[in-house]
Amino acid sequence: MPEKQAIWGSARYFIKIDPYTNVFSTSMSALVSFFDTHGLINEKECKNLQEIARTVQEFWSTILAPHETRVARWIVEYLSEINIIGNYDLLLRLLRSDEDMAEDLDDLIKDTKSVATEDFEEAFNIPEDTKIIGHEITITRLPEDDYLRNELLQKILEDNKYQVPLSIKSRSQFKLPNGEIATVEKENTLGIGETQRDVKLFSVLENEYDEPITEVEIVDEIPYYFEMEDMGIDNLEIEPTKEKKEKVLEVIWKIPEIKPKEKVEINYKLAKRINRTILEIVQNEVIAVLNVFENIEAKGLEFLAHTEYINIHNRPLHELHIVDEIPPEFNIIRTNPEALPPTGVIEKAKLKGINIQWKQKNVNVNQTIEKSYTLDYFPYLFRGKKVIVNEEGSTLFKIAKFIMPSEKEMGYTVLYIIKNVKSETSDLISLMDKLPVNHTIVGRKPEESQVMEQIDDEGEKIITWIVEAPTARKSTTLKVFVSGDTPPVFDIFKVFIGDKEEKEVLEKETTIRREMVKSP
Amino acid sequence: MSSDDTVQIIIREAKDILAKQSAEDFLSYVEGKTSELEKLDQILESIILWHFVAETMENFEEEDYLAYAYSKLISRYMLVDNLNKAEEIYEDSEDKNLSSFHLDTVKTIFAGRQQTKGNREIIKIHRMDVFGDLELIPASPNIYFENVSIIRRYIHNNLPEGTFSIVILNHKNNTEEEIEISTEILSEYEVISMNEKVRMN
Repeated sequence: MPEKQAIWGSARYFIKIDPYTNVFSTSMSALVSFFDTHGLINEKECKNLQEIARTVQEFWSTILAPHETRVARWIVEYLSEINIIGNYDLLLRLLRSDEDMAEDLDDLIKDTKSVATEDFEEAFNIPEDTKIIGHEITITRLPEDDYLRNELLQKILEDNKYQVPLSIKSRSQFKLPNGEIATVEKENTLGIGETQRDVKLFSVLENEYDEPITEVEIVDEIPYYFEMEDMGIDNLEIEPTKEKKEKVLEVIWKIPEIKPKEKVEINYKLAKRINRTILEIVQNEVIAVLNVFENIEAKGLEFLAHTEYINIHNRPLHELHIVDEIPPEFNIIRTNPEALPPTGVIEKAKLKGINIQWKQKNVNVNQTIEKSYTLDYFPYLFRGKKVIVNEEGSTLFKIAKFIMPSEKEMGYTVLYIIKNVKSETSDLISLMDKLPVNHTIVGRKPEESQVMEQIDDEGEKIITWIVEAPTARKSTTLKVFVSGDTPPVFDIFKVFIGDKEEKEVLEKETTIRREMVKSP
Repeated sequence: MSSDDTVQIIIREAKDILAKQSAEDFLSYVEGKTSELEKLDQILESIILWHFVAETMENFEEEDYLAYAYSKLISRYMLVDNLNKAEEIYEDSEDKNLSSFHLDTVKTIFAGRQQTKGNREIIKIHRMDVFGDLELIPASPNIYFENVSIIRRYIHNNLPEGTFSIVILNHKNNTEEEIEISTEILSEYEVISMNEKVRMN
């Protein structure tokens, strides 16, 4: 945790830099705060290193006469205290330059074109059902200046990085009774799976006509970023065909007929892969960028990913960059070989996840480079909120459920909060929730809470908390400590007030994203 | 060449830039020149130039640049220990209702050195619960604050951990503004969120 440090020449004024990444680079962002002996004066979100340096200098020159070398030296020493190795010369350059020095890099890039990647696919031993996406970038020249050279390579890596989609395209084609062919295109959003690593996808086609539709073909375009763990189509005995396209795997379902007002539902269980970007400096003016997708396999309580690269060019590569972006659900435990600067750097960027950057000079012809990663889940928080309204639409209760992991051996904690917004009921409230069947409640708070455990007809463990409704504008809580060595069920509870049950879901929204939150 | 000549040359060049280019180029040019002068300890020359920027930007109605020039003037008068003049600029900026990141920072530093009179009063503090609902909690007694940065500092120093919505009354122009401040220590999580609205039988 960064601490505020006095600026040199003053005992009354302090600066704190809270970087959003552990890696020093021109693109690093941070929150810069100024303090005096009374507390915080002001703070600013800085989106790059130049803005950080200039914000520190701006504050510094408010108190003392401007002194770029002292500011640059102070920043380097500050960063060193929080284990970030800075570059004094670069900081000084950024402080002294009038303009953004890297703004004309676009002019150095002459052309970008797609290239065939079959040879790479064969050599890299990539997972089945994936392809490698390849681009060749022609530049006018590699800048001699180290800073500009590095900025250009970072820009090419960033511009050609695979962007993970938030929805999946689906297109359907079918024959109408009059013989016409109709087509439908859809974007299906990705949903929460049974565990943290799974992603669910539903692709649905409904026959909205009054007659049967025939010769139905549904094509789901699954990006290579996703590993297909399982798929199925209602109760039909149909196997799809697959076609590898440039950026997606097309899964094609052929259904002879759909009756009027009926629908077919295709479900997929997907898992995210490692998003790898490889940059090869093939010649001084030619750079190749490859997007490769690597599987993450469950191994006991951890996860393992193994990657392979081979130089298949007929010449040694002067320089090779590999950036492995880990899906946000995961945290990195270790790498093999160990990522040690300057060859290997693990960047943990705030709210953006983890990536591992490898840089290798002089890669010989046919030289193989292997990297393995051991992963664990990133700390998660499940937050389920339910608003209960009456027939008139007035809010009666707000109920929340939070799941927080404990230490791995200990399982997790579930916190329920019931808030009475405007109900005068004297009925008991029952919250019904699910637990994995092999998980056990080992404690509760308050201890006298009435919590029942039972196994239902489908073999699932149901827990029910029965409690008196809190008075208006008051809340009541229950904390349940659960033991279990598998992930919890990320699902929302059911509510009963006396003998009344939920009648209709009016709104539903599901999201997964990185957030800065206070543990409840 | 005397320092008067230097300042006059810079002013002429700056006017030319403003006429032929943009206000941004104008400010960038003057800032570069004042920085050079300050390195040679010519703070008074820098002050003359920032007065020139303030006057020019006032005619141009460029409020952001005007606020920036005022922040430079207050901080430069503080550097030369002319606190009376710094307070004059400070009051002037209050009259003009100017606000910016730099100006608020400088004014907070100045207010920490001087006993300035503030116009802003906290009239309501709401605390946010886990559902995002706001609950009114007792507001501060009649303390007046010079600017929002000082209010932020007051909240961090005096309120418990939580997220607060603060309603501030500016007595000078009788307007209210609302700001949200969190005093909590936050951690990064992969948040799986489900929100439902259901109707009961």
